[in-house]
Amino acid sequence: MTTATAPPRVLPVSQLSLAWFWTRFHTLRALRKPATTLAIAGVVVMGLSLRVAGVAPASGIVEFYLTLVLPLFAMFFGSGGLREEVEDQTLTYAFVRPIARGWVFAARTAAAAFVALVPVAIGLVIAFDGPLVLLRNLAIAVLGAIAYTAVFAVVGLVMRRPTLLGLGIVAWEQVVGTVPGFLSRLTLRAHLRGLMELGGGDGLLGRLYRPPPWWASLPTLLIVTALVLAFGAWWVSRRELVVPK
Amino acid sequence: MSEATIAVQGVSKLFGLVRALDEIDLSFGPGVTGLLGPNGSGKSTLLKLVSGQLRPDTGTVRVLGRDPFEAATMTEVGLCPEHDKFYEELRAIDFVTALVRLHGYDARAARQRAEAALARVALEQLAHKPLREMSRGMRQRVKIAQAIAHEPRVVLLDEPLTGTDPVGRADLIALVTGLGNGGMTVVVSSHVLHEVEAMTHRVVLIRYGRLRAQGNIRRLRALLVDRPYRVQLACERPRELAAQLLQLAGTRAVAVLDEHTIELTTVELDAAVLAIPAAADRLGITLERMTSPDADLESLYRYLVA
Repeated sequence: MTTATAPPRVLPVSQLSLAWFWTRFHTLRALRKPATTLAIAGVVVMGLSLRVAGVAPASGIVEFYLTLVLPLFAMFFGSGGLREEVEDQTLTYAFVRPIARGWVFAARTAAAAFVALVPVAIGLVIAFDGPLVLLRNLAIAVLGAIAYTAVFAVVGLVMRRPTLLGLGIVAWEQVVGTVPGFLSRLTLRAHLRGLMELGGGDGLLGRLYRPPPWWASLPTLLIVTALVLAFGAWWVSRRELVVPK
Repeated sequence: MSEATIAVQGVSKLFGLVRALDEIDLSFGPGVTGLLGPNGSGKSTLLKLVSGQLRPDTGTVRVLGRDPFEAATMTEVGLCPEHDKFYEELRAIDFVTALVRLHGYDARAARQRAEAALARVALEQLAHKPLREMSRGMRQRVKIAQAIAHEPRVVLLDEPLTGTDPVGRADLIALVTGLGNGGMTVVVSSHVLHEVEAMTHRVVLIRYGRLRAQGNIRRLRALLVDRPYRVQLACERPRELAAQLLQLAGTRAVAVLDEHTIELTTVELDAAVLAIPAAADRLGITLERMTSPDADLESLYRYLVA
């Protein structure tokens, strides 16, 4: 018996195009879930209340959304994405298609980043303080959403129960992100604050804190995001992501 | 010379200390092949290896000459998984369309293919029903539809008839047979032997992760010379016919079970099937029924696996 070796039919469609379709598919799936709608509505109402009540200035609301809401939403949607599909065994359907596994990971991460971005983008509009500032903040939010979601997506991949470590990372970011000195540079939060040129606040530590310069924060965020995404794609492409019987 | 579209050579797969597959060598060509074995024999593991969900610890798996772990290979593969899992909130048509789009078809072409595939599994009337509201049998059909919608050359069906009603089962058996006759390589894993027998006479039997037999059911059965066939005959004057049957070549034993039934034990079934009516005719005896409980897939399975 010989082995048939006819080349497979491949439609003239790039992997990027397939990944883009899969991103939109999962974004719409997530946004249609009532729990997602409720969570988004909750933080939007919170931002509106802060704005209307005048409790916090516009910059405070921006900081709230970019450095607290964003990592929490990224953790919630990022760490669950592919892990849930492994546990639910729905990942099989994507893995028996001609889309590379690394692109499946990238698509699921992008979908989670988009969902995490939605409430933050609305929050930034609520905190409107001029069109240029809004545009800058939206660009920072996009970068932050991808960076945070990529980190949490990888945590979700390598950990069977990613919530605890995810919450630990969020706590680390919140506690260390504005500590004076080098340690804060090990957080994404510090680099997002660097891009926003935000200081450390009025407290003693806050007055000592100096945010990293934007020209250092921007490449740092880009490099960290690229490395984490590459690691996640490599991991997914090498591992057997099947629930044993 | 036939062509193997799926070639499995020296494949072993371990899960911790459990050896799910042990040095398996086998191949599948165009047409339908039944993959049989008791629970835990390694059937699903084998299908997962062929569909690129698992990697072998030793040996190689090739589908159309390529590594199934490569995404491009999946262009020609369709899988109906064993598990009953879906994106539950979707409608059947949206689920199948989305998966066809992952083969590179645009929205319109994917939709047309999804509609055609759902029609092939007789679900066109229920295509717009949410998956979570469907019965197990309907969901099985949706899984089969997504496996064939892109017209792959290799179709892997893991327990595809689970939960289907008798009418639906007959339709699906006809569909699977049609896929095989159309030149696809179809591998069907099942516990239900008569359903496999209705789809194909070509089987692979595995047990404890090892290949026990591969080939045509009748030919495999004929190889079991130490397991003679029983042939049961219903007729009048059974003692007279029994005396004649003792003269037949290959006869090991003849027993008169009651006033109307004889049981012949022979190692040459084909010769006996021709000689028995002739012997009855010579004696002027009318044969009312002739059956061989040992010639079907179930007996083969019983001898080799159970």
